[in-house]
Amino acid sequence: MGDLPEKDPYEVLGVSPLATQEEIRRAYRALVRRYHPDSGTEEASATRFLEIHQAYELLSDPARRRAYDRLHRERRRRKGTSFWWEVILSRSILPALPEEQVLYVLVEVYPSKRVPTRRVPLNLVLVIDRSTSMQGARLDYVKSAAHHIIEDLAPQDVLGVVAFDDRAETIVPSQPLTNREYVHSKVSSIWASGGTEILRGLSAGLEQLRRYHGPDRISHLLLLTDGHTYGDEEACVAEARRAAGEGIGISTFGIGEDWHETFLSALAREAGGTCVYIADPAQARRALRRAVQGLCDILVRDLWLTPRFPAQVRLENVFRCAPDVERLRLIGEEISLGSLSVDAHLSVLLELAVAPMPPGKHRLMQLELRGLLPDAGVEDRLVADLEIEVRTEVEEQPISTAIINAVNKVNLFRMQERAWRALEEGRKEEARQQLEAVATRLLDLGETDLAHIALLEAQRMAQGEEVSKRAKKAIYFGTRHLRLSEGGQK
Amino acid sequence: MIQCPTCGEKYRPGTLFCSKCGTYLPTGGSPRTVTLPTDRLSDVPYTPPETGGLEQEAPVELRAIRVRVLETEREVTLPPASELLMGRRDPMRGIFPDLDLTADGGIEKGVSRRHARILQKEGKVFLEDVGSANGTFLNDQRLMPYLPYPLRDGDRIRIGKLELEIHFE
Ligand SMILES: [Zn+2]
Repeated sequence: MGDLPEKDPYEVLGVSPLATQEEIRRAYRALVRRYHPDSGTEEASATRFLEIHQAYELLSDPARRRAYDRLHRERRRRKGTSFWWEVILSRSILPALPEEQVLYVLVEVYPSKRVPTRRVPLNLVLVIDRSTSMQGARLDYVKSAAHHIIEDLAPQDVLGVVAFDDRAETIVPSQPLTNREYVHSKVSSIWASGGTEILRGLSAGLEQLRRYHGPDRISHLLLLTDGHTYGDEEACVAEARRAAGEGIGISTFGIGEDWHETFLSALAREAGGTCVYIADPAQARRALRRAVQGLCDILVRDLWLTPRFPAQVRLENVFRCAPDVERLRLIGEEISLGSLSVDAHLSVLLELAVAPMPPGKHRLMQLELRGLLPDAGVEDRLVADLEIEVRTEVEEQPISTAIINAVNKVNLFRMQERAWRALEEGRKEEARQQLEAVATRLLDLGETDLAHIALLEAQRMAQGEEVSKRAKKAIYFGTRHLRLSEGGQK
Repeated sequence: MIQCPTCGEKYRPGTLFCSKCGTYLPTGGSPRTVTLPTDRLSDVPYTPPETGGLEQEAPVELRAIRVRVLETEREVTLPPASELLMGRRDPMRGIFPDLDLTADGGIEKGVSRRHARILQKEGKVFLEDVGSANGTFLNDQRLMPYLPYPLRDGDRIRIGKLELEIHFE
């Protein structure tokens, strides 16, 4: 019995390599009840029981567990990282110019072929806006969506539910889904009243999430709201940033037209999640379900990109351009990229300003990408050093299609951003022209429906009418999800 | 500084797209104005105003275009239209190319869903790559994405790895 077992003891007990002694003991007891030859259950099996017992003996002895971990980690490292990347420059040779130049760097991150051995348990909290504006169909659809989520999750997943108006109430304290009936009945009891103060709901939701948060789980807050919050936006974004630092994600769902798209987008962006526009409340179930399924597919979480530059190079803008377009921001010297799913790919575009440099080879930047593998409880890391060459005479170089596509996609998003900014600042004619330009580009890209919406909006502006909130959201979210090409180089 | 040939906005060298009008700066490929199809209604519930802000293009003579897929010997005659999309059908994403190359082994031959298009303007015919993953070639020359190249009767084009022959009717 003292030999190293052939089977992974963590897998046998169904716990993460980061599990505490208490969790290991709990898992062991539950399995013993099921598989003990004397238990009288159908699954009773002497071999399976022996396996479980051996795994428990090994893991419950700290010295033996450490020895096993060391060997196991070594074995895993030799298999290579769980994600891979491709880094593409818009130009690798720059002409020697007396002025600053722009250079784009595209970072495409792919999951390696490795499929996780088991689905990582989820730790979710639903934060539901129950202010008076939600009364009726909106709240009904949201509650129905919540009921479906309760059914979709597995018993080892943890769920909490918080409802808020101008105060927050913990409807269901975070708990493993062993008593679904209780959770269902609590969700049914949510009624509409009061105003909208998102910060209250957000803080209460995060408090519940933290109770079960750990490196072996995917912890995510799902916020559903239909309205503006007043005065607490900045505090909300700060909360989201803190959550991201702890490895907690946030996704936001805006229902109807009266919520602020830049605010809800910012909340999700700060915590590596997504912001979803639910034009028709009946779509709430589908949107929420898709988000939860996305969380089930996560292979790597807490992905952080750290770009480091020499004095001559400056980072001007960072955008995520796949799966959707989003403006990213530096937190300290790092950029939070959220998580990577099994079948997806993630791409990030960095826009750099390069100061005049003498001919010769120069360091451009160092890129570091690290991410946490929740199913193995370890961190993977990739590092690349990038160089450019400055020459006095430069022939025209072909630009990678992937770069052109990425910049084009991001540019369209920026063009519409520019239109709304002009509108907000009262430059109506400029806003109108800008929207027309967006429409023309959309037509060029074959996005006829979206182009039509932008064009009609520009025409309404020309006649001095107000911009429709619905059209603004359609354009804002439409340009983020454009698929200009097949994406990826593979 | 470089200048956008379409709107005059200035940018630092190396910039790829004009953030004001969307022009691809290295080639100056200018955004075109295309007539909106009137049969497509947006879901935005209001009536469009009488006067449009978009210039209507004067109708010009358009030609039907016959395309022969060399690999499969398939011949398709495309109707006269100001814009014909070539690619692979994907109903899920609402992509319905005028020339659907799925049946010619499009996937294996690296054809993108939205790959390239044939444009007709003022009596001239152009071919433009619309950001395909594997590129579009005209008589063995790779096209810059989003830049229309003149197309002539009898030209050979390559969509990914599929060879096509173009004939004007
Ligand atoms: Zn321009």
